[in-house]
Amino acid sequence: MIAQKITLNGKIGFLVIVLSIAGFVWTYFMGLRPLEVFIPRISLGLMALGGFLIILKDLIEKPENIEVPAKENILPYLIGIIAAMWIYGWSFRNIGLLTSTFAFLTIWWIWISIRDAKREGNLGSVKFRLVKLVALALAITISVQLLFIELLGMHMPRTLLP
Amino acid sequence: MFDMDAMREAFFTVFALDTALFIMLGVVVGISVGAIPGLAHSLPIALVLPFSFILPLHQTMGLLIGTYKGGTYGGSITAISFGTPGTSGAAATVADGYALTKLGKGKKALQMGLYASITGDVLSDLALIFLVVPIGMMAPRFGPAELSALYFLALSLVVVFSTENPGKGILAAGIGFFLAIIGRDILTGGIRFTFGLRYLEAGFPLVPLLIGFFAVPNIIKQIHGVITASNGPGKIVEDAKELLLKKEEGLTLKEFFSSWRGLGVGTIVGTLLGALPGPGATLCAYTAYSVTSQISKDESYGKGALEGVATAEAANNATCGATFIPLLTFGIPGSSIAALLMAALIMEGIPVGPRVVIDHTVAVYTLFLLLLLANPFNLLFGRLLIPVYSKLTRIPASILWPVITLVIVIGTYALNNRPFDIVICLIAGVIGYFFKWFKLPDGPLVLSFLVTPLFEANFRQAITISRGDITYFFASGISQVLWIVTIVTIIIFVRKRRRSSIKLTEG
Repeated sequence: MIAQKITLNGKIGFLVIVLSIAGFVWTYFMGLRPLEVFIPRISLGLMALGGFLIILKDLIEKPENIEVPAKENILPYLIGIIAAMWIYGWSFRNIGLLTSTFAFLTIWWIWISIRDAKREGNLGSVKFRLVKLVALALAITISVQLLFIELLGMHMPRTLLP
Repeated sequence: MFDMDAMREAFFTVFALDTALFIMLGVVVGISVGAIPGLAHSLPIALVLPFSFILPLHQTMGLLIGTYKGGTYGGSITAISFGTPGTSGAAATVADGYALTKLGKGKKALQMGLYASITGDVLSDLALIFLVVPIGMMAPRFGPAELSALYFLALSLVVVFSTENPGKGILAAGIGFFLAIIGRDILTGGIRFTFGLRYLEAGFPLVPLLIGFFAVPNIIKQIHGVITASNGPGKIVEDAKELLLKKEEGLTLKEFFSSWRGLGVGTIVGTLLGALPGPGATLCAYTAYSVTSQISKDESYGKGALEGVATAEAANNATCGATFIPLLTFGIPGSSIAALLMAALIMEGIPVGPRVVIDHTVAVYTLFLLLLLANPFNLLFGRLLIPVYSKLTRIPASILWPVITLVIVIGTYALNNRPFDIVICLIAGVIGYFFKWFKLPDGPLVLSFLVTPLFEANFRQAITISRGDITYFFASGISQVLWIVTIVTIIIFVRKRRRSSIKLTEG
């Protein structure tokens, strides 16, 4: 009966308890003084308590009242966007702020425009739209350069391109 | 006590065209920089600090105070418009402000944010003027034991009030605690939970953490929406005329005054906590937000209530005036911005401390008047910028969000010119995504992250002073009151929860 009632919430709660206890045990092998690990132990204890209360709520609440995690699976988007942000961060420091910003915006907007035009079956109208979007990307790139480099004096390492 | 001649001299110095121009410049810079996620308004304050060597006191402080006030308000603009706080103090505004924008009431939320900020600011300035001596006298009575009790109270309030599921609130607070202790131990320098990463020895920086935590989940959601159901990126260019002409309903006087509870709680909490060294605008905003959640009659509180915006904004701006209380009376800067303002005063030849009101009466009155005079400028430029930002939110996601994403990455890097901050921002983004997915409340994480270093430092100081005697934490009257308030609050919350769960079962 109980096994049937444990939902995804409860499973995550259980995982949190296991990880917190593992962390708690680890604090005894870290070679730090007791006062140095006092607050870390409180934090891990709190996490374990939180996990326990989540499981408990799962068990005592009516199934219809249990708050379930969001069902939308956007994990691939999480990975993709995190990767894109990291690549942009790397590229503006190594290739150049102007080049990277312009390239990122242009590539994104060209891809979305062509994909939408294909969906609508209206590839002919995309050219004019692309010209306007490239101009917009250029304007934003110049604004970024003016704001961060000229006005705020952001330090930039030497880069291959501007 | 009140020196009429000094006030007259200060009045004629402040109410002059040059002062007005410097305040105006400060407010515009503050609002603009505050509205860029990543760029804390301490940055422009630090940039204009060297001007104290060449400009007279009223011009320097006019510029700095204008930047401070404008920046504190400016952080709410992006919090409301894009769900990304421009400054850490605006993090508590995100929940209700962004929910209102999604409901098509962005202009109302922005106006409420502005008027609440000005209300909190003006009342806190008046509190500074009239209560600088009595509140200043209270501040040094808060020793390590009292501050430990105060931080424990703030944390308990947020954990118990922020969620219907206490387990999730405690888990969120535990994660915040854990992130805050990563890095070097504050007293001994011992390295904790850095997993061998040298960059983590300095700990998790606050601003990249907040940007990633709030912004990345929103970016993912918006880009997901664009890819699955796009409106077409060309729409912005084609519909520009329509976008500019479309009018959105503004805030009514009735709506503003119906949020009197939030405005009151925000102003009182912001002024009182802001007068203590340490808490800062973020902690004040979250504490006030949690207190109002218990007394608000608005059922949409936390999901798109104007009262939520009013509370958080009144509280974070109320710290602007209150910050000067410990600064002027005891020479204690309560935050990094207060430290910069103190440095400017010292460079102007004003040694802040207990005798400043007596030895530099004109300078102190000048500061009071500058603080008051900055508010109408903040209101004016805030109002001018609201239509721009409320229109920006209606730009198609496929155009707007890639630009926001790039600005967030550059802004995070620009803060300290440290590439690792971008990595921290992305890690915080993953944590933020987990919080959204698992429906964990964000308040306990942010608050416990802020409070933990302060709590730990005071707790360990108290333990050292008392040589391990726990009764030291309950020895003074202030500590006893704070502990009683904490216990009573928890009992009231548990009873309320039990009653509501009984009702639910009976229903």
